[in-house]
Amino acid sequence: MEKKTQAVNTPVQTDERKVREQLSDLMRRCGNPEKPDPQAREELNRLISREGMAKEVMKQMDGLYDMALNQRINLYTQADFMREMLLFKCIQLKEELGYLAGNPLERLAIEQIVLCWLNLHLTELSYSNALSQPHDIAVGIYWEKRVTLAGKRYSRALGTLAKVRNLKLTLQVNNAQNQIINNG
Amino acid sequence: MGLEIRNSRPYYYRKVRRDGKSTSEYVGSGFVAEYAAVMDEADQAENQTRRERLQRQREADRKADQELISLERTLKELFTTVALANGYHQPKRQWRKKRKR
Repeated sequence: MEKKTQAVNTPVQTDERKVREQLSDLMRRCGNPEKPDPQAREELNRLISREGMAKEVMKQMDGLYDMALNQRINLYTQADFMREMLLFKCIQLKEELGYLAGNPLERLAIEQIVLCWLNLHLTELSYSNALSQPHDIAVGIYWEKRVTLAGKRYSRALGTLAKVRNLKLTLQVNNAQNQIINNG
Repeated sequence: MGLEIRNSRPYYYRKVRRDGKSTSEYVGSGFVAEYAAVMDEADQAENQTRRERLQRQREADRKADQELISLERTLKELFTTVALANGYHQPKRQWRKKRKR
């Protein structure tokens, strides 16, 4: 007899869903250009800063970039010298983009840029390596597509940082009290 | 395989696909047939290995891409939320500050 499985919503899942619903509703209300809703904006600010939504997201994303970076390098090469060189280049790029002086949102955007840059760089290396050998047309098309997508992803990441800086969006983490403050 | 034994003598026919039809192409008999059969088998094994390696690499690439896409999506969501909270809106795919009334 087939056993039916029932989806059980734990309190944490229910809370998360509730917050997500609330968030999407507030974002819809804030994003309406015809009817500016200052109350919704205030609510959104409260949800982000005081209720720690941003803090949660930051916590989740913290370390994910490093992990993705290392995984990508390990996938490409096992040689210690190459690995160290790529990591060094990534750190250098981060510093050039102003990682240390940036606010948490800028930092995330910079991490994304570095990851996309590495992705593009490694894809181009693999592309030239694969196409220098005799290959069929399907392999050529596959690598062409990969390089194009990696290039687009890198441009998008750069665009995100540019937007964050142009709009002067800030998301400060108050380390002293372990709080996140959104400067609206 | 296309190696056929007739009257105790080997004959090798290579199977090729032409105009959507599978046809047999005579290669040779005797030693030539046996040699061609072994070489073709080795070629097939090599092609199979290459295909499998390519498949594995594509799978690894796809997984790595998924990770990148998910990070990008999360960052975009966070950016949108913070921009809206800061009083911006996006009427024509461009972020603008709302006018105070």
